[in-house]
Amino acid sequence: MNESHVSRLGRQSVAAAAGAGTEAAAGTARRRFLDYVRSPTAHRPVVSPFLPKPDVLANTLSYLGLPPTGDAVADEIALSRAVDYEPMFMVGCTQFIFPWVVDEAGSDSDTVRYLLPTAAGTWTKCLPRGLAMGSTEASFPVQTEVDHGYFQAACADVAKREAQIREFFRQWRHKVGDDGVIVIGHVNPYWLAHQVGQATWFLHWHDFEATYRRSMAAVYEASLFIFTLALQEGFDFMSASGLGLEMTSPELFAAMDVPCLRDYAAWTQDRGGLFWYHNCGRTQHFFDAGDFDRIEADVLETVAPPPAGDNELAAARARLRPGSCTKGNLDLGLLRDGSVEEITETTRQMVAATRGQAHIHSTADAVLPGTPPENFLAYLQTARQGTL
Amino acid sequence: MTGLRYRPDFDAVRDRLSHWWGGGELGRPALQLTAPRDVPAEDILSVPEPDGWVTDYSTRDFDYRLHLALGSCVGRHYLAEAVPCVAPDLGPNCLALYLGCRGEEMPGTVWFHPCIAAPETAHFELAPGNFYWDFTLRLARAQRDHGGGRFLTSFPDLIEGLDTLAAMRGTEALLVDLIRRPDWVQQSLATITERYFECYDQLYDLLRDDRGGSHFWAWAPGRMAKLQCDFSAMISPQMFRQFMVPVLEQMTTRLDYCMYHWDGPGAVEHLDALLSVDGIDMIQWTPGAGTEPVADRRWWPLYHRIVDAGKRVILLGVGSGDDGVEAVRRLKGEFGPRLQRFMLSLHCDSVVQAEQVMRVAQVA
Repeated sequence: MNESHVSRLGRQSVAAAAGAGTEAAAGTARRRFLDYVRSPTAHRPVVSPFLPKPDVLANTLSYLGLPPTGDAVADEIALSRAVDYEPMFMVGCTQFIFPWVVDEAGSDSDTVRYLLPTAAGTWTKCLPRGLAMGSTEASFPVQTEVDHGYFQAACADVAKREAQIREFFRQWRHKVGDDGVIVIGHVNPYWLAHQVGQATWFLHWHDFEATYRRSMAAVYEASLFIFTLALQEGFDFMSASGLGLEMTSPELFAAMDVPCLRDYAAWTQDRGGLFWYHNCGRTQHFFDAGDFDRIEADVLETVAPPPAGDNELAAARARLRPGSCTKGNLDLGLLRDGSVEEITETTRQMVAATRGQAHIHSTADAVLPGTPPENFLAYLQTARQGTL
Repeated sequence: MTGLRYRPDFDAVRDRLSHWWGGGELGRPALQLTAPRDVPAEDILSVPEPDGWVTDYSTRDFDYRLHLALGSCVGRHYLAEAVPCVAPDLGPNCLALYLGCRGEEMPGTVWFHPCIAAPETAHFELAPGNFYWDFTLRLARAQRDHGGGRFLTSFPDLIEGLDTLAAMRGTEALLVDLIRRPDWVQQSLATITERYFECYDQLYDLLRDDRGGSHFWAWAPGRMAKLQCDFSAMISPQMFRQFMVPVLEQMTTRLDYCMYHWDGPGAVEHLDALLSVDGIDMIQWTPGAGTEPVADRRWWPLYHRIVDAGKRVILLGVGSGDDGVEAVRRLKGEFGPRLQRFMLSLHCDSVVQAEQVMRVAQVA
């Protein structure tokens, strides 16, 4: 994205038409979450772990004497009611832009071939059998400048799948109900919706930036089509992420990521929605440089602390405008491996560091499998007690 | 020199290889075939390994290094175009040691510690009294003098260009330098090339044979070198053309015969650039860890492109034993008479099997 792209999109004021039919009922977890993000000083702070793994949810329910259901969404809803927190759920959408299908006839004992018909021709990718995309750098479909042509054509086809996408989102909203918020998954145009490898994207940007920008623009437009449907079906947060920001330079982040993220935030807010920006790891530089603030996200997570990150919560929070809401930042390793006393104390410190500011008390990324119920509950209950 | 004790028909071998390098055909690929000897070519007195010896690249005991060299060729037959040789290697990237890196000996290898903390203070000098350079020269002389008439002494694995600069600067730092200070990188590469030839020329004068031939991963009737850029797996085609192709073009004008060591799937995208360098005569593909072996059909399209461009292909480790014979048979089926543009290296189970390989490889 760049300035010309922003102006081409234009700023639209579509007043909260989105999700109008799915207004959260008063008093529900979803309503509490949204009210807090929109007006933090007037509402009780939110407690919301980031995507705890199914085993953590089931074990914690059992620890409390409640029956796991075998369904992770239902388990989290049950747990959130029991412990009084506001859950969030994340639903992927990239599969609707790049619906790769296995080509059995073109596969052999060593390799699985995938096909994606596009207006530019049939795009193919081959993966060693047993490996998923991302297992190796060579497993990503965007390898050459020619692949960008297929990529851009694939993005243009997303509108053909409107009914399928809408139904998928509707089922999710129905399943979660008002028991939590739904965040859309990450398309991340700067990383070409993860169709290009981390070790490759920079080289493409270096060798043919104009082509790369066209691909970014194509997938950005495709994602807006999906976001429109998501808003209409009552999804609460549009979203993007930055994974492994240690691997990009500050200049490139400012050139590639920030304009795109600002566009996303503005587009979403113009339509009455909320924008959520996820990142993790060593991100202090981006707080200090003001890059994160310039995005104007409504929720910014995870403000990861050492050892996984390098952030001190109060200092990072102070780099943002008062209205934007941070979310985080309990260390995942501590939560899994620490003692109840350590987790309790660290959670108290997190609450104290953000008292009076817009902050969702959460974890510094997805709660790790194997996290003991006692530890998970120590965090949830301490955070809740500190925010009453 | 008409022959070597471990290769009495060395003159005939050189005749065939000179013919092959000159564009002639052998009726089969050039073959580097070895097979185990039942009885060593000569008895070499056993010397116990020094205490703390962790790698045969070591510089800790000169006499033991010489002992290793003297014994390294006695256990094999050298057949077809194989040449018995040893090299005064101190590790991959010897030039970086000569220019200031420190080597840390580790089991089976040597780690090179970068020596350029800041570009502003970088220097690329072959300092008088450099321990590693002196050690190389001493060992090369000793190998030549003590091994004279038995085997050839090959060039050490000097390495050049971005790989040398990466060793000196640190890989991550150099990647950033490519973006932040490309002029410094290019100036540094040009200086490294000059230092390379300061070393190469002395070594060539020391090690060339009576025909002016020399051995650097293969024998050729002149100034032979193996060039490479493993670093290329981390950069784009445009970057490779910007930084490394000028190095290769410059270096190949100062050499008579060049092979390029082309390593790993991450380097495949640079083939067009490599084929554009006139002075590269032969390309040696290394598939990389975890991928199909060098003779596998996956790589055949690459070999066709190399041959189509008028260059030669050298494949090391084509196979051993029956697998090697079968691999040669498959290559012959694919390439037919074009297999004469290949040099194949195999270790056979016996002389009889090596002769079988030569028959199987016959294409004209």
